[in-house]
Amino acid sequence: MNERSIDFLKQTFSRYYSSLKSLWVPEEIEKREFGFFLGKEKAMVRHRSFDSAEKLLGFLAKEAPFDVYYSIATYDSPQEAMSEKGWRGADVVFDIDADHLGRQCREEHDMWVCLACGKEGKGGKPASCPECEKKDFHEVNWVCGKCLEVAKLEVYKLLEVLEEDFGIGDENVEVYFSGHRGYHVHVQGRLSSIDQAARKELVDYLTGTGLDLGLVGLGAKSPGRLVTGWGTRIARSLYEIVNEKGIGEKHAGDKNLEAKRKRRILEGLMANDVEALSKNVSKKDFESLVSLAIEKVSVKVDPVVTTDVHRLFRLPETINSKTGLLKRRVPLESLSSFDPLEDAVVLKGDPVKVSVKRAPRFSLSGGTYGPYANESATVPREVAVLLLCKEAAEYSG
Amino acid sequence: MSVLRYAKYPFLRGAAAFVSEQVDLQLKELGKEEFKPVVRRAKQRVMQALKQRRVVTESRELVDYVSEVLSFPTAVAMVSAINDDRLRSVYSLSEAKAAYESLKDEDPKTLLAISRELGIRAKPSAGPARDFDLDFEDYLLHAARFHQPRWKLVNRKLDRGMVQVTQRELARILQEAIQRRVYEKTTVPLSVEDLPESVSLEVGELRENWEKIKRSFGAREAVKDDETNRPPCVKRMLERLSKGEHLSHPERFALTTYLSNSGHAVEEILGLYSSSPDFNAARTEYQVRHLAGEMGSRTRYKPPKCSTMKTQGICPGGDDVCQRIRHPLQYPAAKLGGKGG
Repeated sequence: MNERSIDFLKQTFSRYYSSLKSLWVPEEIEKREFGFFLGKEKAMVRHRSFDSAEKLLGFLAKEAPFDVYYSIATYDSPQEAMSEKGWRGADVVFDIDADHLGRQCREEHDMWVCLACGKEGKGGKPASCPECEKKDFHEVNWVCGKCLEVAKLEVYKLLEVLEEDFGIGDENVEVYFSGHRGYHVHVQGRLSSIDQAARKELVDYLTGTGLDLGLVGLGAKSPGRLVTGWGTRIARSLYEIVNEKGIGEKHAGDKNLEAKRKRRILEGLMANDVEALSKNVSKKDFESLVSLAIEKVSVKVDPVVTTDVHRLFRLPETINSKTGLLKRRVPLESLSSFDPLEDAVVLKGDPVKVSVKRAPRFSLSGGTYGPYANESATVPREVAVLLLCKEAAEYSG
Repeated sequence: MSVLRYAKYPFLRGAAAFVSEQVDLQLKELGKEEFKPVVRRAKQRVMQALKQRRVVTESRELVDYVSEVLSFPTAVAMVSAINDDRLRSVYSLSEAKAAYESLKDEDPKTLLAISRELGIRAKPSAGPARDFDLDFEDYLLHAARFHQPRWKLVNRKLDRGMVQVTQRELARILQEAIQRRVYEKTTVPLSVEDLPESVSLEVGELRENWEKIKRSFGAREAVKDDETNRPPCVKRMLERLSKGEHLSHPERFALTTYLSNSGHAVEEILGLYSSSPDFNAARTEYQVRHLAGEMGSRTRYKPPKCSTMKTQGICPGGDDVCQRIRHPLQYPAAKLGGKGG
């Protein structure tokens, strides 16, 4: 990114932070560590602390950082080096990132270029270039509405487990769009004293890691009634799968018998009992149905981020410099209608001229743009910001 | 709670209060003739911890319940005075194990009263009679490090934040909480000079015994890493690296810390990464030196435990040696000796 582009972004961010009357800040702000990227590709400035929202907002308006982070942990002395901080506790935050979800739309909007020979391709970058076998690539990854919908489904799954299994209801949960490829689910006022080992157990519970099929009631010999939180979820998921897709025919042609058979299986599953299902399909099919059910039930939270009790997370209501979008709180009642590419756009403004290297066709704030390849374009400010943030374009006045 | 129960569970706050109503015991008075049985029993508690790894309370000792209760804070004072973290662990575990033996058959009302006193939220189960429902936060606080599959939260009955446990399991969790409490009590700074001479002589004898036992543990020899004794996770990461494949951040962390903790120099480790697709010499060197404890906080980072690597999705699935270990650094010794290191 060239100097003019950086200046343009800084100005835009500064104008935004200067216009704010107030800023969301975490509880016990004076015990949090703050970190910033003050420019693109510079090292993070860390170990800063602020004792009020006003001072932090003043800093943001003056410095217009590219990214703003705060520690989910509280410390006795947040400004000290890591070993001297004195850890007191940390909020539990679950990170859901579309990058970790096998999205099919990647082929439509992600691409790579080999830096050695110029070969390019769609989707995620390969291990090595199929043309010259070199391994250095320029990657262009875009986020689209479809990706973010997939991530949102995981948020719904997470909220369900939090409430039904962990007993953490909506009043203790806040959902944020991360400003880029996913969502952060913050737990408020609960669990802040649990250590890394306990957080690992939470993550394993969500992802199904370490699940012992025998203990759930799916022992190899005679699967029967499923028990435990996970058992119930697996049974429910099997019900949906069988109900939707059926299980193949046994009594070819006899619709009556087939219907009866399916009903018996579903009745069993309704009561968390898999016996009828296991007796009506081959062992191999049963196993693959169970695997599919587990895959559907597991919640894809990022295990590393979620178990890190010192992690710096992006501060809510600040700009994400990977997109220019806001990390924005999504009230639970409007989660279903929340459209990040519309509702998290805050840097709107008059058209700006940019020279675009390359970008796929994309949507933002109701408009559709691109595809572009080495051309000049005049686009609304928020679109220019996105193109610059993605390093797909330079500002040209 | 009855007097006899306090003798069985002397770590309860009520026990201390009860005793102070009977006798006003000050440390410096422990040398008096009337407290001889207390000191004798206190020393025995610590000796039992050292030799049998469990404090044993005979029913005849419950007859002199005042001495029995008093012997606990006295033993704690002795352990504090010796001032050795490993002894603190051994002693607190031994007291906690003794309590477990009683708690597993205790009547449910007392069990719940003790849970409450230890800050553990439990109640009779809404499910099977005789089981208990336990707040999952308290469950995690104490059971997250138990490594049998049945203790993993993912395999438990969990409903609206309550984990269903049997009486034995609840007793086992209380054991953890008790151990923590006893350990805490032994960290109160106390010097031998604060004790009457007759007691400090006993402490000296205990300290000698402890040093002897500690020596017999012996220092475990570290086994140097080489191609023949690497765990499958490390082997696979090295193979991928040599093929020029990209390793994720957690993988690099695990690999670097494994190698730096098993006798490899920073330069050797740097060499491995030079074939990596996004190799940046300066940055890699900074990171490797940092993890090896040559920079920054000077802590040499340890690789994550096996269970953490499973959570992070970077365990390729273990071999039969892995079955016996919990940490990748234990692998070489386990492979060599056929036993967990």
